[in-house]
Amino acid sequence: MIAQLIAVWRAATSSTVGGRCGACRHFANDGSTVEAAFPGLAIMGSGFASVRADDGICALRGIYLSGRARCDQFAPYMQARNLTRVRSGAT
Amino acid sequence: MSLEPAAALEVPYQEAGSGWTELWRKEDWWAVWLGLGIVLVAYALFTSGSSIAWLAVSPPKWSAFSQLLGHLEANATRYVAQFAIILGLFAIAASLIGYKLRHFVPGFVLVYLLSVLVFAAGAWDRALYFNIEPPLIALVGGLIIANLIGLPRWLDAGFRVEFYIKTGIVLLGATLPFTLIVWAGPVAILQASIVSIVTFLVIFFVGRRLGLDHRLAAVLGAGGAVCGVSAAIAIAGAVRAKKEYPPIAITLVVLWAIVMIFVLPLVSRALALPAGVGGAWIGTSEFADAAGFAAAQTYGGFATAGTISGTADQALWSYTLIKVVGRDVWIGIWALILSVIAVTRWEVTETGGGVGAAEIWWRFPKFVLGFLLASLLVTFAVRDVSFADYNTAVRPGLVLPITTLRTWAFTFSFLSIGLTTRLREFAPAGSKPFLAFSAGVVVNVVLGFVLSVLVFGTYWQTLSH
Repeated sequence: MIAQLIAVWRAATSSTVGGRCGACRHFANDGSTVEAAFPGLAIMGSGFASVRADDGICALRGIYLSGRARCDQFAPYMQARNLTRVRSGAT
Repeated sequence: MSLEPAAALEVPYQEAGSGWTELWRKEDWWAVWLGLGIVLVAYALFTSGSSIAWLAVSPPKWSAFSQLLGHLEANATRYVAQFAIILGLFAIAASLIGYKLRHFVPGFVLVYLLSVLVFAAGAWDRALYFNIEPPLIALVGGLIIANLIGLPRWLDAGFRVEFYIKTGIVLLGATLPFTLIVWAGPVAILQASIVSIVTFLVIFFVGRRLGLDHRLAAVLGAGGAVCGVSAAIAIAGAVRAKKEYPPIAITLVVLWAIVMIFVLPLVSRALALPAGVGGAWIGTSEFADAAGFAAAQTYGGFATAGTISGTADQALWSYTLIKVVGRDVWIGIWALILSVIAVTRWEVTETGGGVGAAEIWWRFPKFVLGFLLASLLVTFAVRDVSFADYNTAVRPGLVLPITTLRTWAFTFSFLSIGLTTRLREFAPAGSKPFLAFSAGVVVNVVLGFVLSVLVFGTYWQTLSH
């Protein structure tokens, strides 16, 4: 029983693939954006509340999830800048 | 030259909760800063022989309209100062949280002016005869303005229901003895936990039986069982819900919560439940904090008018103990458990990682810390004061002014509920989610009544200092 629980916990907490959603260009978690996407949220809730942590909307998959989740279709915001850095030989 | 792997290109990313920015970017923390700041200033003035009573002005009881006008005229400076200070504090917070200030300010001005009218209507000596309780006036007035007259959507920036209610809850902490939290807290947690778990399971399994997706059933269950819209949105993120799911839960929670604002106080009054018992039932069976406070304050108003036994404080205290201490603070644990289940059972392939015990802290409603600190602070400050001195000095000089400011904050919130509720704009919920959620509502209300009235009734009835 305990071994099973530990296995479940490890499966849930271990990172698997790709990059973090919070740094992905498909991901948006600004409070105003979330309130606009979910009509009525501000009536008895808030896009700026602590309970939301860093959750946001993935436009690619159409799901609402934590910015700490990971995905194999991760696409970084700053790819263009980093590419320039790579091309210029900077590390 | 080949590209670097995606992981190496990853931009720096700040973990939720680990960054100090949360202290000035989240509404909860600003409620703590504003609420505790007001309490500290009030206490500092009180100990120096002064008081914030001058600033904490509101219309007194009146019978002739000329009396009301006379009061407003004589105290115009106080109202202007009160308005300017509250606007200034909220505007600073609003700009740092990320609301658009040019939209927030006009919205707040409207809320304040309407609040003066709500206060004035509630202070009319015939108000009781016509069942005019300020929270209900605020709610109905806001609903009429939003749905029959209509306001520009950008004004919504000033109608911050949650921000105002959280600030009011921190102020409420200053008037709630910490000893009472310690004494009644365990019972509140026990009662709230029983109802929360049962309600969640009912909504979840009825939803599953009707064919709803696991994640939608979980989002609906949390919305009905824990803390309404806030819980629904927190659990939606934890279980990685489809983006269509939160609006369904929001629609159902808001509509049922508004119904309960009217039903619970009126049924409690018809059953002649004492104030503390009615407040406990509302705390157990309402869904959202702001809606529950509207119902509990209404029920407290019945006690003040002598319609039911007990005091207005008892209704608000028992409500707060069950809703805030018994239900709200556990949202992080619900989120952690459901997120583990979601990523290991329901959604194994789409995305990975991101779950950890720190989830409990990240999602913790931080305004509760302000509420507890305010209670601890004032309780400690007046620990050696005799009962007679408390009533003659502490109550008028410290407690009542804070209570008045809290009532202003609550009124802003109740008005904002009405002003932001545009019934025609709700997402369609669908019959199956409606049935699942409504099944939970029935169980929640019945079980809440049994526990509040039959099991712990004596306990809540005698809630006092």
